[in-house]
Amino acid sequence: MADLVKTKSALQMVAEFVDNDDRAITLDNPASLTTAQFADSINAVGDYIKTNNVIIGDKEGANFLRFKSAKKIVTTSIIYDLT
Amino acid sequence: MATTSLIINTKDTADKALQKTITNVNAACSSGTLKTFSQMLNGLTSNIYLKTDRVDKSNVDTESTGSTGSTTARSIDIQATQYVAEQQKNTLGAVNNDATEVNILLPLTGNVITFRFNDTDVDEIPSFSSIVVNGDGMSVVNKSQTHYASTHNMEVMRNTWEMSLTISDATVGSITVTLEIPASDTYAAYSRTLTFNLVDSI
Repeated sequence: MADLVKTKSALQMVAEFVDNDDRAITLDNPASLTTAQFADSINAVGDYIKTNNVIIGDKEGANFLRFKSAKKIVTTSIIYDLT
Repeated sequence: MATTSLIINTKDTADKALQKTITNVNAACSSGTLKTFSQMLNGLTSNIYLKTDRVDKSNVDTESTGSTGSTTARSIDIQATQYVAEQQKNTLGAVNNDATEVNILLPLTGNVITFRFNDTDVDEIPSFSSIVVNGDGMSVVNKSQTHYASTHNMEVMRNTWEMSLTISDATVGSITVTLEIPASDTYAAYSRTLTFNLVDSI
């Protein structure tokens, strides 16, 4: 039996609220998009959240300000063959 | 505090079910708005199936303890006294409970204002209260505040907030003093702001 390699990726977006509090929203299985496409889509979601006041801060109930950062996290796990 | 969460159920391309909970969703949002929001988030993923549930959750620990759910408004008397060089200059008196402004006579040298908020006939000491002082044109050089609870008639509780302000020389200005007491199971939240104005004569 050979080593078993598993990869898992997630998209982590950090939402900023007007009370300076941050909250990360992590989505599993991100789409295969280019950096520019991700930026456009994430900014579009941010604009929508802001326009419709969809999510609020967990401490003060403060309004959403923007997504201040986003990163794609790829985790590679190797299960070693010990036989 | 009641909170609203959005649960997004999706399936990835391998038909594996995934669930994402977005907490602290604005309770005022319409279902249509939340649906569009969910679709936009799903557009950032390779997931192919989308179903959303909205969960409105109440904190039962604090919201179910009151049997009726109704609260009583606090009735707090306010007394303010102006001292100049430790001599009582002017009893600002039991300030009318509807009053929002109190006038203070010049001069201000050695001027100390003491005032009390008296909360009588209550059976509860607030877990938290605060007095906030904001000056506009006048500065407070010294302040002290005390909150004490005592009983009178052997049974009725009285809460007293006492505060002294020493004010620097000034010819014009005002100070606002706000007493805030959060809501409890028995009493509604209380907030009262008094403005003290400097005047030449009353």
